[in-house]
Amino acid sequence: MWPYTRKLYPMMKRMLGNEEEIRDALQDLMLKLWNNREKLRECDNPGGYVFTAARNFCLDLRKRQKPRLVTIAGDEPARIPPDGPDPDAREKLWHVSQVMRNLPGKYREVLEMREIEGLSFDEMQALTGHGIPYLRVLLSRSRIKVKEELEKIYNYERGTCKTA
Amino acid sequence: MKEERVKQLERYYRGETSLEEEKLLKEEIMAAEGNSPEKDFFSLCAGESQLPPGLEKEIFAKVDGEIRRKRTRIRLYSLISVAASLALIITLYSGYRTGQKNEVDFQIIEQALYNVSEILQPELEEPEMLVLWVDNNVEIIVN
Repeated sequence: MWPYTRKLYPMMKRMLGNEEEIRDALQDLMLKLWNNREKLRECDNPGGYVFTAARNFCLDLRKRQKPRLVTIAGDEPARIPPDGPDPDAREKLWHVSQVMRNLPGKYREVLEMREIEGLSFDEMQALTGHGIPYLRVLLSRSRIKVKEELEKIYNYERGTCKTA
Repeated sequence: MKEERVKQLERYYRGETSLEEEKLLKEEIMAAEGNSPEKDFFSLCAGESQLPPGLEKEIFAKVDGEIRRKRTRIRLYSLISVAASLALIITLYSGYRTGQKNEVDFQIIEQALYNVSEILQPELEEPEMLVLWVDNNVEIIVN
């Protein structure tokens, strides 16, 4: 159960946004999973079970919350460390986050599941309901799309930004 | 080495790599010199998937504490329910015993009252009879 914390955190962060809320939710979720550990042990795809439970838990939490003035976490740009060592690197990270943000919903979802949360295809299948071949196609397209968009923004051979 | 990486990258972009292969590929690319879109992308993803320091320990401690509290509560409830069951059994048994004793007492009192009433009861007197006629075939008696 504990190894999932590492994968659950980024997912819950995207869905809930608020750091304190994530901690509380993660604690409650872990407790629920502990109480259902027998079910989890018998499960064919424990990862899928855990992530589906986590997503439903977050959706439920969000439903119960009062509407917030800020946009939901999924629409916010990715977090970039404010104290990054190099302003150029930070700028590049900001561009990457914008590229990811502008991806079509399905592409972004699959890409985040794989690249940020580190989910296996079985776990992604349990979460999305899509077949693995289709998930591979979505993942491939989203990766290529990100690469193409980044190459449009940044000249990697010369090390300069094209938009500057 | 570089050729191998290029091949792996091609597989990566086709969505054919496993999580383990992707991990190795990311490590290689992040360690490589120069800029690349992959390096920027992996760098952002690595930052996003990072857990705040101490979070795992904090969550574990909280959940562990909660589980312990719950277990103690369950044990306490079990003890209370065992004690309550014992108390109930003892009460019922003593009640049963008391009931039995009452029954015996009641029988004794009933017997005593019967004896008293028998003593107090006047003896039945033989009814006086007037014999009017007696022969071999007929008896005429008036009470």
